[in-house]
Amino acid sequence: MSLLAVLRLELRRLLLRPWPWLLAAAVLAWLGWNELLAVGAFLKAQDRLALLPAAPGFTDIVAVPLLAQFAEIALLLVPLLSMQSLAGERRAGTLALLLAQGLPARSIVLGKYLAQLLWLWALLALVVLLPLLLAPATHLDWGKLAAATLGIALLLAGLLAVGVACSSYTRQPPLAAALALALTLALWAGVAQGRAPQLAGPVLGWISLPTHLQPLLRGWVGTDDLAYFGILIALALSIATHRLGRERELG
Amino acid sequence: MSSLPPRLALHAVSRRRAGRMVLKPTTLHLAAGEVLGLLGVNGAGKTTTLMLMAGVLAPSNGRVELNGADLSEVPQCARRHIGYLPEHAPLWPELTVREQLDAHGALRGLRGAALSAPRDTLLLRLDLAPLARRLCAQLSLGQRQRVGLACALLHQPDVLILDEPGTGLDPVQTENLRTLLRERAAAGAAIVLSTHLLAEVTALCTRVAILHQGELRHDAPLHTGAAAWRVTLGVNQAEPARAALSALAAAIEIEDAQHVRVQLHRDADATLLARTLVGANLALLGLEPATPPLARVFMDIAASGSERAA
Repeated sequence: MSLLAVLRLELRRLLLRPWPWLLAAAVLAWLGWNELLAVGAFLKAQDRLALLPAAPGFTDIVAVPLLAQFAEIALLLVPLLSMQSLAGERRAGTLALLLAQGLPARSIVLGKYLAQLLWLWALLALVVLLPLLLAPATHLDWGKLAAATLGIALLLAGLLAVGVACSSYTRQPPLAAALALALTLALWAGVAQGRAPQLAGPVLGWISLPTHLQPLLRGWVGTDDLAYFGILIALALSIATHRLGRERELG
Repeated sequence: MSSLPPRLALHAVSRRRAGRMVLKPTTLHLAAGEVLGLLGVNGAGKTTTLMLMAGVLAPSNGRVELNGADLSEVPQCARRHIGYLPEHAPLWPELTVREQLDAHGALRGLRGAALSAPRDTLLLRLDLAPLARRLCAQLSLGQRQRVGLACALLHQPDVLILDEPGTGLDPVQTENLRTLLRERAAAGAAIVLSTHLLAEVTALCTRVAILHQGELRHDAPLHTGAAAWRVTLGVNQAEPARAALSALAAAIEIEDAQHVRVQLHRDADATLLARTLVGANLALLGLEPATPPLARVFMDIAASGSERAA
């Protein structure tokens, strides 16, 4: 019950703030423009594609790259969204209101996390709608698109969990955003070393985000990739819950 | 004597932060209907004490009990039984006043009429009804304070913890606040309020506690009727004064040959006391309230702390 109350409160506040709407509008405008460019390129390349035996289609050339571009934007967008979740509450003094009501740290963290995740997934739904709008005029690979959408949804969930964890350690939202961005980039950049086994072992490759996102974007849903995102989310949220649970001791 | 546990009890509660003791071991009990005024200079530890009482902070040592239950073991008790107004009344700025109250009610598990009835009553009582649709970000300091107070009172808690509730209120609103708090105390709530205004304490509180440098230096009932006096007389006149005052005083205590402490009957006052002593040909050299006024107690404690620190 307390989880639902926190979730409702956080969702309401999120919907009433102007800047999440501005961010969403900017993201959609940018991706919409890029989709137009990609569709133009796709149409121009039709003659050449027709000559190839297993030519990539609309999904490979327009839809999935659009989602991949959204994934890159999310590296910056998610820390900006999550920085307020606990750090902002702490700075404004409203975290004390939640703690004074004896709400478990788990409910506060999960309520805030789920509210922001719903917002991000709603934005993802709008992004996916961009290629879907052209579905009647083209041939979509639904399986590949679904897998790619699942990959981005999991990526958003993972990045958000990292952002909330970072936000639980400070009272300065910009610092929380910077910390989350640094961690996210570290996880993202791991792929470069993951691709160069001589520089890094398999562990570094395994912990990098793109290692597990790329198969999903290619339409392959593997249990190890799902497990990776599950572990990342659970670990980050546990850290946030633990830190908030110690709020009463640390002050 | 009642066997009920105190509404709120601090048992040797202390709090350490960054290696510094911000609250030394403190024991306090607050019964139903009591209004405790918590005084202290800036940095005395008032806000820390209130946060410990509200369960926002955990004590480094000792325990806080709410109706006999350890608050650290059952923190969810706070949800039902504690109303807390932090300093500066933090509010969620995106919400309107009504939404703010609804959010607080929902967090405390209130639904339907259990939420709307007290909410609407408090909006009227605290003169917030005209502001119900206004965003909290647009409120003045006094308005924010009243919204914060409404949030703290919404679930009719047994224990009210208020950090400087009178900040930003005009005289009419201050009187409204006092009336509201007196009503809550009469209904059995225990109230703790921190303030810098001694007049607020004398007008509202039944007890006063003074913190200084993280230490509880004073905890006593607040005497509103100043019926006790300390009389200074000529040399060796203390004993004769006892005889002269026997009809006037409920109790007489001789401190030394020159000083007498007199507890007057209800119908007597300082003028009658002075007239009686002079009428008995005693040399009256001084007359002062035996219980020093709150301001003097406070100033003495603040000064003693400064001396100690120096």
